[in-house]
Amino acid sequence: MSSKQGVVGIFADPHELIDGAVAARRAGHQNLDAFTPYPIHGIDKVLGIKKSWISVVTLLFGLLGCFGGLGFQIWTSAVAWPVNVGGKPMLSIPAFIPITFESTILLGGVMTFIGVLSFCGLPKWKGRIVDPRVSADAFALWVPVRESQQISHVEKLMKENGAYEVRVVT
Amino acid sequence: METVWKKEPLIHPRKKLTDVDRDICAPMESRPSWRWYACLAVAVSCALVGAACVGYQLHTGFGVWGISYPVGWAVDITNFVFWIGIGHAGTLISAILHLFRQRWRTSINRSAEAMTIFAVMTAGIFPLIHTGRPWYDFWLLPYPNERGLWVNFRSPLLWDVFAVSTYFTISLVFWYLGLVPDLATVRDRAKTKIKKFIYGFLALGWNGSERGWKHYELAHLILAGISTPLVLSVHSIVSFDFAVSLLPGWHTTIFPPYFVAGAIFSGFAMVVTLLVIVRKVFGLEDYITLQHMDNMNKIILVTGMMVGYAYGMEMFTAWYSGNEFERFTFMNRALGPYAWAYWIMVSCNVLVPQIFWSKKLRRSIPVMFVASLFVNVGMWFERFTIIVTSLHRDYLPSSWGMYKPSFVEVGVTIGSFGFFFMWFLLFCRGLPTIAMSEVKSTMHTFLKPFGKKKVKVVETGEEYVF
Amino acid sequence: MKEFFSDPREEALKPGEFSRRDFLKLMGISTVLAGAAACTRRPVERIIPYLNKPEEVTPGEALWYASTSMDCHCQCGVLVKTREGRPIKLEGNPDHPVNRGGLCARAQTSVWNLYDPDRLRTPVLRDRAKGSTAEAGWDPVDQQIREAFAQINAKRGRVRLLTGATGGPATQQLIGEFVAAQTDGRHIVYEPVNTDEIAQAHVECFGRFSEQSEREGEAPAALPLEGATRAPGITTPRYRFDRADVVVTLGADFLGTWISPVEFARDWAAGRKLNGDGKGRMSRLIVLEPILTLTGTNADERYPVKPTDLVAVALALAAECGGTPEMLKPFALNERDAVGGVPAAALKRIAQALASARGRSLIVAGLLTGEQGIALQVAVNYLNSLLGNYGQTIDVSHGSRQAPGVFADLQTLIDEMNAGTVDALIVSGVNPVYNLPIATRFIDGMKKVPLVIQMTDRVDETSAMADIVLPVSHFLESWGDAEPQTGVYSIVQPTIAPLYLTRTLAANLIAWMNGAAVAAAKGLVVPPEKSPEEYWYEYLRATWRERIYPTFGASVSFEAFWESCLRTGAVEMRGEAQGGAGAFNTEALARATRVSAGGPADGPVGPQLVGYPTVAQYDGRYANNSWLQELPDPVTKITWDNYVCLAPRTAKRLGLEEEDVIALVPPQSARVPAEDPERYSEKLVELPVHIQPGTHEDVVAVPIGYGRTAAGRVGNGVGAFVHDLAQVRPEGIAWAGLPVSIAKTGKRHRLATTQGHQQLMGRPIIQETTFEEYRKNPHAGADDSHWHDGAPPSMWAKHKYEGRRWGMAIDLNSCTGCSACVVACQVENNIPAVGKKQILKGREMHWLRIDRYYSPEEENPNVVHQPMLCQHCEKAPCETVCPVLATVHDNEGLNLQVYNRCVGTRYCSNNCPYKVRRFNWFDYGNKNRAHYVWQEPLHLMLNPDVTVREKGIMEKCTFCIQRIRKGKEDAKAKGIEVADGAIKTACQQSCPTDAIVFGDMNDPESRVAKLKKDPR
Repeated sequence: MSSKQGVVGIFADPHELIDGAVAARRAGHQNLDAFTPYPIHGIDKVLGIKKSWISVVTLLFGLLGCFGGLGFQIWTSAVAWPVNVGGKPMLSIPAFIPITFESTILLGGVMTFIGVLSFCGLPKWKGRIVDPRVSADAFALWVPVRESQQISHVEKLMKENGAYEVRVVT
Repeated sequence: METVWKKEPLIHPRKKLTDVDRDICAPMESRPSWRWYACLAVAVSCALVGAACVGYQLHTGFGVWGISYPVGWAVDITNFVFWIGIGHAGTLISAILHLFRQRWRTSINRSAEAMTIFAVMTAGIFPLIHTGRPWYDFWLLPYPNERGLWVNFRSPLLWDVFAVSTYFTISLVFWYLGLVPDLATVRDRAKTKIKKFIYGFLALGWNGSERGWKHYELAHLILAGISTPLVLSVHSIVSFDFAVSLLPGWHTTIFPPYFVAGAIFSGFAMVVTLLVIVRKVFGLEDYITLQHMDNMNKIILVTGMMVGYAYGMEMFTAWYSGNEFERFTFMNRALGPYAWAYWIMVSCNVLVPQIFWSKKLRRSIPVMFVASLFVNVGMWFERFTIIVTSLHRDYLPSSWGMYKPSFVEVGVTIGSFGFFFMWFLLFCRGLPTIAMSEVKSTMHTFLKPFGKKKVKVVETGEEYVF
Repeated sequence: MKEFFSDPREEALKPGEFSRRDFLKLMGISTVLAGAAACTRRPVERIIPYLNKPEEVTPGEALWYASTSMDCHCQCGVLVKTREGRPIKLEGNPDHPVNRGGLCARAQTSVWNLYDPDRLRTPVLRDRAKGSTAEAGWDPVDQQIREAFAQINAKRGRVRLLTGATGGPATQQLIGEFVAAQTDGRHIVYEPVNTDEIAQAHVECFGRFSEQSEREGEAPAALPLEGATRAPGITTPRYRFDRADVVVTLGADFLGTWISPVEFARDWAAGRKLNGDGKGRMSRLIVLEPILTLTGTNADERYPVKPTDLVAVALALAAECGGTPEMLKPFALNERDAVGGVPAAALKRIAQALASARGRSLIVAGLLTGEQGIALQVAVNYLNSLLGNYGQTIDVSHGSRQAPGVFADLQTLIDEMNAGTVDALIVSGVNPVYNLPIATRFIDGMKKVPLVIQMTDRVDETSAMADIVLPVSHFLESWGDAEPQTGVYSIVQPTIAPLYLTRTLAANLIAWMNGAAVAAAKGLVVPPEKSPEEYWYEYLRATWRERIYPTFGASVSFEAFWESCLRTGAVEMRGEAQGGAGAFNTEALARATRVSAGGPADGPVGPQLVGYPTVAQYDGRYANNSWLQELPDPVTKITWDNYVCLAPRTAKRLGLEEEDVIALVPPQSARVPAEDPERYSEKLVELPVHIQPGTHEDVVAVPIGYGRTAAGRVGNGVGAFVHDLAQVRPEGIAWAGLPVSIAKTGKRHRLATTQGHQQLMGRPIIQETTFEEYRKNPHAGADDSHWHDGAPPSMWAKHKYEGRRWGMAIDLNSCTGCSACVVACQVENNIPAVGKKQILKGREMHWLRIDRYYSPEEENPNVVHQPMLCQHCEKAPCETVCPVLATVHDNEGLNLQVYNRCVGTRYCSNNCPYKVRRFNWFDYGNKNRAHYVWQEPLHLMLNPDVTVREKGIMEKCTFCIQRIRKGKEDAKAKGIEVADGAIKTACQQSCPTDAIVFGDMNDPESRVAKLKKDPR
């Protein structure tokens, strides 16, 4: 939650939240955010949230894991200290496939997780949460307001769309 | 979308969102009953028995196990494969069913994933303690050292190291990522400072922001996507321990699918066993309904038959190969001194699940509980049969021998169950056993699509699509 | 207040530089850490620097001494490997005329006996009445004994010396002088397993034939003693298996335990070597025996014959071979189908084979003792005489003295003792209380002897009845000589100073005879302060100078001669056999026909007992030797126990299964009144059943040499004591063909066998063909049809081995299964014995084992032996699966096992198709782990070139890599290439039949490369 001022509307129903968000957008408000107990599909368009780049992170690190893993195996087995193991060639690529696969998954998966955290700005233990109920059954809409005269307008807008509680943050 | 779900909701329809929180968080917010303490005491004692056995082994030498030549692996690797297999159901439920948009999974995936984590932890103990010098186990890792020594990347055991550790890490990450929003819920409900601090720490400051949810959902999907080949690869690689060696009875190409099917089979049986208890003890019948159990039993039936098919094909391949060693091994399996283990395996894994053709039995809690126990026993003996009967009579008749477990094997096996249940019991008390945010998302009773379209009421539990 | 906040000297340093203090700190820390790192669980080896370096000893270099193995009866020549002054390994001396390089399992383990923790360390005085003991010094003991002898001699009392095989000319002469110095002294030689029957039969058949030594006008080895029937062992001829094309043995296990097995195995195998060209000669071995012996397993033809039928079978053969005397008539085959269960057709075939190989055949007999034994030997002598084998394959002029024993002398001694007329009995090197059956009344007699002096290496069964127990030096600690066969003089030289307060027999005798006087008699000038051992050394040299040096006829000085003797270990002064044995006294046959009275009809019905010595335990003297206790019997593959061998059919008939315990009950007539109730009342012998294919249906066979009660920590209580089952007859102690009855006990006793399954199951593990087929096609029998283009298909390219490539070839045609290699490997490579409990779990540690398979016919199976060790596979399955590269190939083709790196997953063992990898289940290297491993001071015999493995790691055959290293270093030091045969593995070195060949396969001229090309 940004430190800027704005209005928080708490809804009981996600559909009302969506309606409220639509109304706020139409009224020209930007950078809206919603805080919900579970993801509301489709709301990203309403709020104007952009595409997530997580998948690119996964791909890049997966590829790094793949080639890094394979390269490491080749380097240790055939370059750094080649050893005759069971009469197999030093460069026995088929035997290296399982670990190449595993390193792909490992690096890709772990970096996805780390990616989510960093994209979401987590962990962030110090910050305040908008309302404890948003993790239960409340659906909160955050509308940042730049000029304080608009606050009452936003408040009204929220209430019209079903918010049962509206709070002003300054 | 199957129509049956419309008639029978996944979650009891009278439940509200806050009811979900209340019901699921109840175990965390109340004092445990004496029953839970009793269970935990039993589990911890069992785990301590196992730990004592391991301590004795470390001090005296691996000889305190019953293992010798030619049977160099037995209960140790049996337990390893068994527990890894158990773990597979969790990943399967959360990852594969997630990809297939099977929404009924939401009630069970959290505990199933937890089971995965604990099962893999339990499984991981065995390769660590089964070595002669466990204090040097770290040599299996390719870490840079002053002698420039590396490891043998051609060894299936090393593949195991990578597969199991990757599996554990990814499962943990996947599970934890799913837990974060629920931990936030728990944090927000917490009354005491300590709880607030602990859950607040674990929740990482999750605030339910829709931007977060966006990344979260995609990451969850990606992790599900990479977990799916991972879960298939892990048991394939575990099966390579056997398939890549040259022992008759081990050296066979059907092992990877055979092992994966077996893993799913045993994993689901373990999930059924656990959930039958959990839903009863914590009163979660409204969340884990008969419908869930029914679905799982169907999977048990299907995978059971796949396993049965594999048993048949093994026999056929051995006969068709014309290889006398191969033939002997399978004759010996079915008729030799360990035939009892083979027939326990066949009857538990192939015959017992056949009862699930009947819908009535499929939905009977006592029946499924007993059947799932049988399947667990059968799958344990499957691994035992594969490992011990193949080893005990291999190429040279002069080196044939028998295997008899010592008390250490028994103790360690008991210990593994204790260890597993200890973690599971702690999990039931300490973390939300059901993915609350996911369950809530299935509880839309209606949706108003964005825009100026008419309000459309959608049936309970149905997939919502934009 | 401090003047500076920081040390100005440090301020002056640039970042990254070390100050002297820092350097010292780091040094200190690293020293501590290094010290801490050294404090792991590895056993601490103390390193003792040579302050005054002894001449000849170079730390890290082995010193070899030639000596003679006196721990066993064969007296083979040995080379003793010592490291830093400790004997650690015995190897056959290739220059020794008896064994020529090979060495049997028993002799190999002599180092164990040297370091045996249960050895007696000081003289002990016992009070027989009270049973109390007291340690004593040598001087008072010598004083006491000298006084006692003086008293005895003063009243013309009798002094009797009872020994086993004693030694060569000097020892014999000294004993003779000692005996002569007493007013009434006598020397009795009695080995528990002996050739008395052979000697007696030869006397009966030929009279006393001349011996080389006598012919040359020398004094006989031992002075002829009053009342002695003949000099001990002197009429046992030398058998020449290398010259025989047809060998028939009637119960003699000449490859295992009979007289001189190493020599015989070598000679016999020499007549059967094939070189792959389809030519070559193969002698035929026909075995007629009651039990399956090691020799029987190697037979070309084998027939189970019960003991009482052996004489009849021999006589039938004699009749068939053209024996004419009237007495033989009833034994002729005529129209009969079979004699003693052997089909007439087979006997005819054997007789034909013998007849067609006149002078090139050899018939030997054994196992039967007592009058039956003499009868059998007489019959066999007749056959050999008939076939003209004397002077050809039997050399009477160079007789064997390897298993002497004259029962008649022993009987006289026992009678004297029981009559109370023996005043002093000296027992040395034998254990009569244990070995002799109670019925000999030896124990009763001993109680009546006022002074019993025993020389022994441990407090054994006999010691319990002695007054003075004296510790005797091990042969590796003493000077001595031996004459295993007439004309073969062998040196025993010390390789280590006595570990304890011990003395040799000879030194004792000198001490009691007044050493200076002895020396003076010899013309030796010795200062009076010399110890008896030093006198004895002078005496030995003097005797050799007097008796052997002149006959050697060399132009060298005695010193040079003596040195060459010490270097080579022995001198041989025998040529070809000097003619035959002379005319056969046909009257002697009467004994044979009388024994099998009633002609060749079926002998007594019912089970017949056969007691037989085993390869590992022989007569029981090695009971405290873990290596031998754990050596699987070459036939039964059982360790740590004796048992009752029953034929499969008999066991079925009696409803007995393997490991059922039965009681053996000797017939009433064989029992003697219970004068020693503790040892012998109605006590039965209880033993587990071992179903042994190849045993005659009517035979109950029992290995002797078990059930020791005072052998030591290892040997006590192993197996059951069976010696009292033997019968004492006027002619000797009968061990075979005795009536016995069997009673079930309902108990079970587990037998620790090292082989899980006894049959090949139709698998192509050992490929066989007949000699006829081989002559047509040398490739016959070798089935490689499952290979494509001569090699199995592979998806990988082969590795190239440039330079050397080590390989081993084992000729299964030559391997007799004697198991010498198994023990050689154990001694060389510090392989522990693991004890019965672990063997029962299948955890033997032998790197090299010998697999023995039976063909499916149970009653008289064909047997094959297959030594099984690491094959050093080119594409080793074990290597691929090791996660930590603990087992890899080197560039010389060896499959290496890196102990340091092994974590012990045992995957390699699972994946080894030969199951030759061995896992350290426990910390066997810990010298305090168990009594059967390396308790102090046994750890002193460990080979310092081979790591003692820690618990939890895998080990296996390394092709004796330490020997390969040594060979390469030696070659490098000399600046030459490693010559073929310069590097010998321990197993190869020990092999009596030269079946194992090791070498460089890349060298086309090497033996192993040639053998690899052999189409066999």
